Amino acid sequence: MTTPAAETSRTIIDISKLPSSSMDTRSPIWWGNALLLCIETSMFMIVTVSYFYFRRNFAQWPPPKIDQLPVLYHPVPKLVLATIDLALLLGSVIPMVIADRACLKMDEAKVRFGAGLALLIGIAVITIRFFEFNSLIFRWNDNVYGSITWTLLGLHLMHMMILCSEDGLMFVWIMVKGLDDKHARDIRVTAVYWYWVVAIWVLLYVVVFLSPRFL
Amino acid sequence: MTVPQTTFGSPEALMRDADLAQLHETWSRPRGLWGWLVTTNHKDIAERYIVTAFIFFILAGILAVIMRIQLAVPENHFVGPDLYNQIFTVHGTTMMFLFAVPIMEAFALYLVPLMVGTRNVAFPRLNAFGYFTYLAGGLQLWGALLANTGPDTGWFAYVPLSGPAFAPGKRVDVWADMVTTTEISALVGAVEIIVTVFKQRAVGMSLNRIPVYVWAMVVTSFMIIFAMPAVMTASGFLPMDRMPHVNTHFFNPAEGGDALLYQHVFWFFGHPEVYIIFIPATGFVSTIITTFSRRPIFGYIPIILSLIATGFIGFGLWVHHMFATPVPNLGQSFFTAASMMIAIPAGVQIFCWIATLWGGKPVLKMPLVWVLGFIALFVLGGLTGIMLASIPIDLQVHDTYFVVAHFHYVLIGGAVFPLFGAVYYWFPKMTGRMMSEKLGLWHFWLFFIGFNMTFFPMHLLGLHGMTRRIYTYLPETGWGMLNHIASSGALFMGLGVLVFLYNALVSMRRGEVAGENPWGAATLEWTTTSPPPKYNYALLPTVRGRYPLWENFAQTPLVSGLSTDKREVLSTSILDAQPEHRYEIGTDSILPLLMGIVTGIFFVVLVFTPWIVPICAGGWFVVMAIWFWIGTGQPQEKHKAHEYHEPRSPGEPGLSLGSDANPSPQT
Repeated sequence: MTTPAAETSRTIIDISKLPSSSMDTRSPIWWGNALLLCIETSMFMIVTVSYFYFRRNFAQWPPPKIDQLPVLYHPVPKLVLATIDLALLLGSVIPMVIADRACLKMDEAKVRFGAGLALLIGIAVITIRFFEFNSLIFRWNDNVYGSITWTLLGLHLMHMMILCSEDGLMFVWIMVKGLDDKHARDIRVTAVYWYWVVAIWVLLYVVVFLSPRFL
Repeated sequence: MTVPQTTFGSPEALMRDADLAQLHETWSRPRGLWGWLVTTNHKDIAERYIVTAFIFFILAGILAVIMRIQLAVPENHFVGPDLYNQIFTVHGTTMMFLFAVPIMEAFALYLVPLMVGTRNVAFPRLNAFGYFTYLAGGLQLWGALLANTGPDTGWFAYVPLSGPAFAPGKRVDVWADMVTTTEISALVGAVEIIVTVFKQRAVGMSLNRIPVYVWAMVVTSFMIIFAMPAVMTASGFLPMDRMPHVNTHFFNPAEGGDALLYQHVFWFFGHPEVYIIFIPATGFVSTIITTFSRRPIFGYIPIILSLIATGFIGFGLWVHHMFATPVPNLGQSFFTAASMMIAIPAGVQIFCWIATLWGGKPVLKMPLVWVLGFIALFVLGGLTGIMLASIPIDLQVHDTYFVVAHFHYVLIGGAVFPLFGAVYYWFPKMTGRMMSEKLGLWHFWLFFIGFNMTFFPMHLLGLHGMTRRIYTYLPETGWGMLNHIASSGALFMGLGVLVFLYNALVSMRRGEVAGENPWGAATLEWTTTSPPPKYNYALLPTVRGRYPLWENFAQTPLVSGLSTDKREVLSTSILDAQPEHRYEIGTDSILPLLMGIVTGIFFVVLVFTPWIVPICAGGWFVVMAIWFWIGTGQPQEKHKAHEYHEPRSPGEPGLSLGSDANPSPQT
């Protein structure tokens, strides 16, 4: 668009040469995503605080499981599956970082590899999570310990599913239509979400699986 | 096409007709009903929010009148106890969740993009989705009330009363799901406002030049982001406890749950909520006082700092709603101190407003009249607030009409009065016509007198021991006369609102034509036509100070170069508002409505069965996938390697506002 600047004494600032997208914190969508993560972080903090609030009501945490023989006096959650999850999620950061960095160079092959591998790991984590609920020993409706731990794991599972949907849709887009500026930025934003979901799992691993053993 | 003329240099006149026509075409919505369903223009959405919120205000007001009729005389049988419980619960819930918060965000969604000089909010489709979700929540609550399934456990639905043991049926589930629905919409609005302010301000609008109202909305939005997740936790735990086949034990003491946790989580949201309603109102007040005192506001920086301080301290007060519970004494003392401390930033603001009026030449138009009413009533509400912050007094009057009087003074005096002022103030911008000053005065005095008649006697009733939420009382209590006065006052308030509605409807068609800046105000929204074009500004404005229209705006540079054939906005840097990049935003789309419908269905069916979760998750995924796949429908740009575009240095020609760009106004 040209401007007939001769008609006016007003200075016209022409921004038509500015880029049409941005890859980092200058992008509005980056901020939108960051604020949504603030919302979700508040949510996890409140549910985590509730976990410790409930703990004050118990002489023993987790409470003994007495509806079976032999009675379990200290039924701490089993570590195996949760630890595998932790390792997988921490490992998934590597392909995500590769995809994230490759977006800056518009290296389509690397983005495909990174986003695809992360997606596979994500699906594996979701699959394991369904079995992992059994590690908690209690069911959600046995007592408040069961309720709060199932809720924490369930909320994280929900985020894993949303995250994998997001990454999956990006992945399909790149496979079909190739990598463009906007979707490269979107993958970078998805990567921020990915790191956040991994960080939340580290927190939940410490709270749900380690704290009843050591605190 | 006709070019709207403005006295501020008519940016439209600087554009070629073909460009202007294309700009108009790009930003217009499709014709007819379809266009109405798919629009994502922030002004369309905000107008809808405002109208819907006022409808809920009137509906909840009708409930209030019914309550006052019931209480007008002792041993009345106008409504029975069960219906009365539903009525006061739905009244409070509607006023808080469907009127107060949404209308404050609605005004911001209308005004913030205009005030910061951009064309639309950052995520227009998300914005439309927020509205439809809010509407779904409102319909759910009121549909339930009409089906005699209205919630009946008070607007905060304390357990154990609202738990599965004492509240069988679906009433509380309706309440909880409706809360979650409307909070989603509030959170969406908050994200919109923050990102729009952070990333889309006019070139030159550095942090210290943002209008006070916009600052107020940023603080409010941050409070929403950190407070609303708490109530969503509460409104998530509660139905999980109640729902068949789920039956968790969060609030069930028999299985280790804790009823007091509900109060903590609820009030961790509930107290900031008061400031989420009040801070936007202070933004209205600061704006109106500046304009009608004809001078820059006294103490811009102290006012902004007070807003931010209020935002922080507001999170440290929640336990003062729980003084009658076994919270440790030391903790209670801390919350007493915090409750008194928050009077400091409120006081700073009030003194700044008085100083501005004192040092200016106040023009007594309707917006300012409402603001003066606000100052008087809010000081009264604040005084009883300080009284209630003291534990011994609080224990004495807890759950009495003294508390009812206090929070109505704070919420109506503190928020509804400035809100009416804001309506009178921005009505010309939104409709192009002025509201009648004469009818405005009738509205004000009927409402002001009615308000004091209704709520002042409640202080005395509370001190005499009348408890909240009773549907009737005995003649021997001696409360009859004061209740009778209160009920008469409610009728005056109702009349005032009717005058207001009449004024608004008539003025919309036959009011005096406003022109672009009828009040001689200083902020950017008054440079564009009334009502503003769909694209807000043909050429984006820039600013060199806090009061652009009082600082030789006709000589301020304008920004050109945004595409006219797609919906582009300019993204600027967070601190200094230097141009960074152009940014294409979403176009009109039916998907937000579909998404809203899926969400609405989800929360209605969730009242009955948890199995809706996987079904609607599928629905959301399908809509989101389409949403993602279609995008904005524009071809995607591809570059070999993405360059990092550093913002050009201010000295470079073309992007600078010049070295005289800092005539920082003295306050």
